Amino acid sequence: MSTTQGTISASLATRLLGVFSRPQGSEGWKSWLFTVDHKRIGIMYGAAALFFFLVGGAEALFIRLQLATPNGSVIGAGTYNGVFTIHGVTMVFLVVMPMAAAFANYLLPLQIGARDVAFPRLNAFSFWCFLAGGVLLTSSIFIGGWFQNVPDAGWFNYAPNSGVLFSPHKGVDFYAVGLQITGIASLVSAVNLIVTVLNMRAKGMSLFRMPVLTWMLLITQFLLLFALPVITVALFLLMFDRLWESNFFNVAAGADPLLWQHLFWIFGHPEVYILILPAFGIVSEIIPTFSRKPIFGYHFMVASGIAIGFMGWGVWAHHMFTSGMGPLSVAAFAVSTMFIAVPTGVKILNWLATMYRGRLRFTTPMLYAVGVVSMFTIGGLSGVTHAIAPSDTQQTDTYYIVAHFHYVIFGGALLGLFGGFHFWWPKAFGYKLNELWGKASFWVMLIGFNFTFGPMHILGLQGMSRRIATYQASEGFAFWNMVATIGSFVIAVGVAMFLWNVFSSTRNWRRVGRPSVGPDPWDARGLEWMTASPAPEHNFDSDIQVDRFDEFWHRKYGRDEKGKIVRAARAEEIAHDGSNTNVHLPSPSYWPLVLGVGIMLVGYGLIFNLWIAALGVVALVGAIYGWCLEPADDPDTAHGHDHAGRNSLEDEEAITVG
Amino acid sequence: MAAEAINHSAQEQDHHSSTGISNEKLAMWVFLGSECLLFGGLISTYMFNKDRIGLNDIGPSDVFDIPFTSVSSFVLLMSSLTMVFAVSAITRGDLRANRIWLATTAALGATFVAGQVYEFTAFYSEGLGFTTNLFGSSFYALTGFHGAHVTIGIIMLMSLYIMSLRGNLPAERAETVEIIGLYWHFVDIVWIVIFTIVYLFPQ
Amino acid sequence: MGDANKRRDVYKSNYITKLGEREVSRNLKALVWLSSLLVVTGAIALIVVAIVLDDNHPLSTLSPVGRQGRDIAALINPIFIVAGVIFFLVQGAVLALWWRYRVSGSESGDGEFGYYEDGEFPEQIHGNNRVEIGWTLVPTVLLAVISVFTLITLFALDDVEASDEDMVVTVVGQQWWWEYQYHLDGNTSTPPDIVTANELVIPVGVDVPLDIKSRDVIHSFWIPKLNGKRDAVPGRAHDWVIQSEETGRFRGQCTEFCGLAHGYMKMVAVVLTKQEFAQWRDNQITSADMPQEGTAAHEGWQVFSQQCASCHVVNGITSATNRGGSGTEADTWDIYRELSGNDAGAYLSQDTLVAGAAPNLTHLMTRSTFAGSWYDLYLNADSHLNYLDLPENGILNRVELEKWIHNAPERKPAAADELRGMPARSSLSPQDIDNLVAFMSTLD
Repeated sequence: MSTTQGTISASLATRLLGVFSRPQGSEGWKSWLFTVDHKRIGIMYGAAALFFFLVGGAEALFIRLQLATPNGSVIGAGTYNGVFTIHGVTMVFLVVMPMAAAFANYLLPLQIGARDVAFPRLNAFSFWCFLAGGVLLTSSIFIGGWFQNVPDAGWFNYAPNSGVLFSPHKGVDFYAVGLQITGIASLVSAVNLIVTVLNMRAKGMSLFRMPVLTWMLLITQFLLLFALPVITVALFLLMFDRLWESNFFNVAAGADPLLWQHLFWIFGHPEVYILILPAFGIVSEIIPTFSRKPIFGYHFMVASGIAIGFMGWGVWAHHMFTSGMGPLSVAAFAVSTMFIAVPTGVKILNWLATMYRGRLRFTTPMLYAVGVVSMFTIGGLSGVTHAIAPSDTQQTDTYYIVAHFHYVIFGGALLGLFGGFHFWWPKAFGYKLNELWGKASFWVMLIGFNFTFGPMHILGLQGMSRRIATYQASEGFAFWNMVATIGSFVIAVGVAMFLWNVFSSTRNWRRVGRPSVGPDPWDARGLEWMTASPAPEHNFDSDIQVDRFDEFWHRKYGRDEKGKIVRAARAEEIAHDGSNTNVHLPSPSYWPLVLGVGIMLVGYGLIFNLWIAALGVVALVGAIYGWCLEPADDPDTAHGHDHAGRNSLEDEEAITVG
Repeated sequence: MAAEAINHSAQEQDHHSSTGISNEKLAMWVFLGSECLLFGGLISTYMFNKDRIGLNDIGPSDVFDIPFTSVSSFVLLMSSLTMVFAVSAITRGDLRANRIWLATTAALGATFVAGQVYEFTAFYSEGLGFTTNLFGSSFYALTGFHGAHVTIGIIMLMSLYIMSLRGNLPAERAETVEIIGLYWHFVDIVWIVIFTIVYLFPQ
Repeated sequence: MGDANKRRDVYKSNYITKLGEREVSRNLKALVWLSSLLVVTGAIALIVVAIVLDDNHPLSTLSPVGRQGRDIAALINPIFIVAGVIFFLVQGAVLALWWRYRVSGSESGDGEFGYYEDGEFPEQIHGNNRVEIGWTLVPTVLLAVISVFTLITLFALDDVEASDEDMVVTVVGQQWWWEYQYHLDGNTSTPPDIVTANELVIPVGVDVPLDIKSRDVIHSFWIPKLNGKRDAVPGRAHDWVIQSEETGRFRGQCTEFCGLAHGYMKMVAVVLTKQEFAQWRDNQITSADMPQEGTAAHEGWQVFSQQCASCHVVNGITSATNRGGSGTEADTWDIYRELSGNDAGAYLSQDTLVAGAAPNLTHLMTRSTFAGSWYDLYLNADSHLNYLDLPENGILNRVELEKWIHNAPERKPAAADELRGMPARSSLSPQDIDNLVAFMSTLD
């Protein structure tokens, strides 16, 4: 006991060396602000992404209202340009990417049998930095009046239209600074997660025993790692041009606006795979579970993901077939784009083969996963037609493209992510979402989705251009636009049903005394199901020895003499119950949040007033100083995930002595 | 028995790594991979833009002072050597030598940055500003980003030096010095590329 | 404690199975199949409707009349069919697998096997290398074949040299209208012979080479029925070609986002017989005549020279004194730079044939549209009226034209205060506007 006291006073002294004492405890809202737990960070990523999804969805409804009829006047042309720009930016950078980050954060360590990510505090910083960028970007909607300073040059932001000459208000500044900040977040997160997967796998978890989702997320992080610096350069050049009058996109000074396009799409095309690969991974977890079969062609699944990761770098200029590159470049990129369809096709066929002769249970997650297979195929097929460079000169920048990428990003990425929500919800929260509501919301969303974006194929081929604020009655676009608008509201109903499901399922679960659904409610295959639900703060009670792919499933099931599969053990018997209170955990920290706030201040400062930026820099320097001085683990409270300080110290004491 | 296993695992968690490389070092390698693309983008931008100037505009051949930049490049190159000495010193436990070499490295780096500041001032007085033309914008952006990287490196080296003075950098933490060294070597290598492409090629 | 258990039981019996497991499962299945059936039949019905309604889409890429447009359609249509077949194969496979291998089980998912009711497992197939290699190779070969056809078409379309037409048209995009500069001898380094706006007039059956440029931001020139699009990038000149097998008016739309009024930046390609084209050309080369003094048109000219001529050119009568400055086309970029100094004159070219930042109005009345082709200049332009007869027999869309002169930014979005788009002329009296229209009516 006296030793314990000694330790505490010693650590008190250490604390005084730091600027403040450390946050403690794992209850209450404060514990969320200062948490470094990858699961809480994952949940916060998911919640933030859902919030931005509602913002981006509302923007989409305004777009559809404006286009519902010819000569639409719901919102003016200026506002319309702002709305479609911020819709695109929001959905790509603030919805799909962080939603994928939510799964990456929550699941990666669990799937590889680790306690946390490699750098927990950096992980927290990634989230706060992302949120800072998201808040900054979203605030452009109302700062200085509604839609007065919103980015309005398209998510692709082509120079020179994004220059201060043609977009004199602060919208594009918000774009440049906001994306730079979310970029820092993604980059830090990418480094962190790559190190986590490479370095922190459980014993025996070789690379080719990792779940497909882990693989897809790892490839995504590598794509982020190499793609983000390119957009960073582009955004810096844009910012220098806008704020300090450099000449990078100044045509009068001899600049070629195609530089922006190349830089943007060298990032932008890998970005497409950054959006879709996590969903591919999620689908690859759900389909085997509800087919009662292992994933078909595991190595080919992984290899096709890697192939997509590599080939994704060689196709960017297919976004620029009409930009006036030489015919040889066009030819080269047409061919390379053509063949990136091969690995994607392999994935689709492998999913179908997994279902073949399986025992299929169409639960909500399975519906979403099969929805991805079906919808992404449509987006993939229309994608191949873009590779036909001559015909792309007809299709590009029309609604055919809008249809294509919504089938890929909504029908592929978002449906997959929603399937993931339903699939891993019990793991994260300890109860399931209601199946009936889940299925109903899926069907409403799917039907609405097809009515919204299906007609856009036809509209595009009929010649309706993208990004036009309205069209004339004589152009014959009215009918399908009305259909699409109605469809978009059906999607909104579907999303509302999903939210209601979350709300009512939570309420019902609370009413009955919060029973846990058990570690493995779906009879699933991955290591994340081998611990209690919700996953305890320390993930696993002890280290796991992995001997094969789908380790957890193989622990549950064996074969009898006849080779028939029989239950070897119940999930509850194998799974860790989370009762171990003696695990060395990283302690919460103020500094990630302070650093995020500092970065946000620097962002606003660059846009409005450098004095605000100076304030931000002070916060930044202070946070980095504090960060460096505090040890990753507070020796005082780091032991015991219950954070009851002394008790757990006593426990350890006892064990050490014992 | 169970308690033993648990205790064992808690320790394992801190030291076990699947690749055998520590998390910190691996993170630096991964990060430097990303940095390659950052400088790749900046260098490409420079190459794309450097000749897009008017006939009578101020261009590379008007401002570059190759002998001067060669000397400062040599200084930076030497700092990589002293960095190696610093790492080797702390690895064999010679903390004092480590401090000396860390300080030398930082000083050489600072000399390089001072040279760059001088060079920028000279160019500016010759009429090449950031906003003058595409060559100016691209040149300052590229070399400025590199200079910022060197400066951050110097700050990290000085922090190591202070830590060592306070006794917070024992021989067991040699890897920290090695990781900062990785960064430092990377920044040097990038400079060799920049020096070759920006200064030597047009001649 | 017992209370909690009781509540838990209530949860299980009420909440999950409240609706009755069996009933839920049967209802759900019915719902699922009914809705998928609805989707499929609905979609097919709608597509049929679409094809029936497809007779009136002036921008459609599905019914090209230009040689290039037809080449593109000939390439892509078979590929659409192949894609359609794959589409039905995959969707059919999804539905077939669904139907064939679905099993019913616990609706609550509370069983020992989650949502499964039993411990029955299918054969655990981990994969099959032959199958994998097969379905990697088949699409690769298929795509290789498609690539070959793509490249053949690509290089054939790129072969602009094949044109036997001397004339080259420089197409200049700017916010938010198109200018066409006709170089009848094909020499783009000399001043153009004709400068017109919004409506590109070409002879039928001839490959007309285009030289596509921009004065400000990136635009894209696209007449869907004739050829694909090509971007107009400032600082660059892009070769393109346009051809039509039939006469008629074919609409176009700027397809690269170019700022505020991007959606309103339209254009028309007018395809005339060769004789008609010669007639049109000979008329366009002529200058306008000064209206006789004392007429309303002359009054209108006086208003025009004060209010409009600092930007709009009318060959022959707007004089250099209206337009100071020293620009050539290359430095029109400076235009916008100098706007801040309010030196509007600086962005106008000295060359009498080159419009500056506003359309050349010399032969305004020969065009069927105005305001970036957003508005019809004649109410009956879409009837079978001969294009060349419009000035004579067209019914002038007078109401819209007057509104446009009075307050253009209200009729089409513009950033007039930044001199991008035509500013309002609200100070003009109705009489002034009448006179202006009278003057414009002489510009045929």
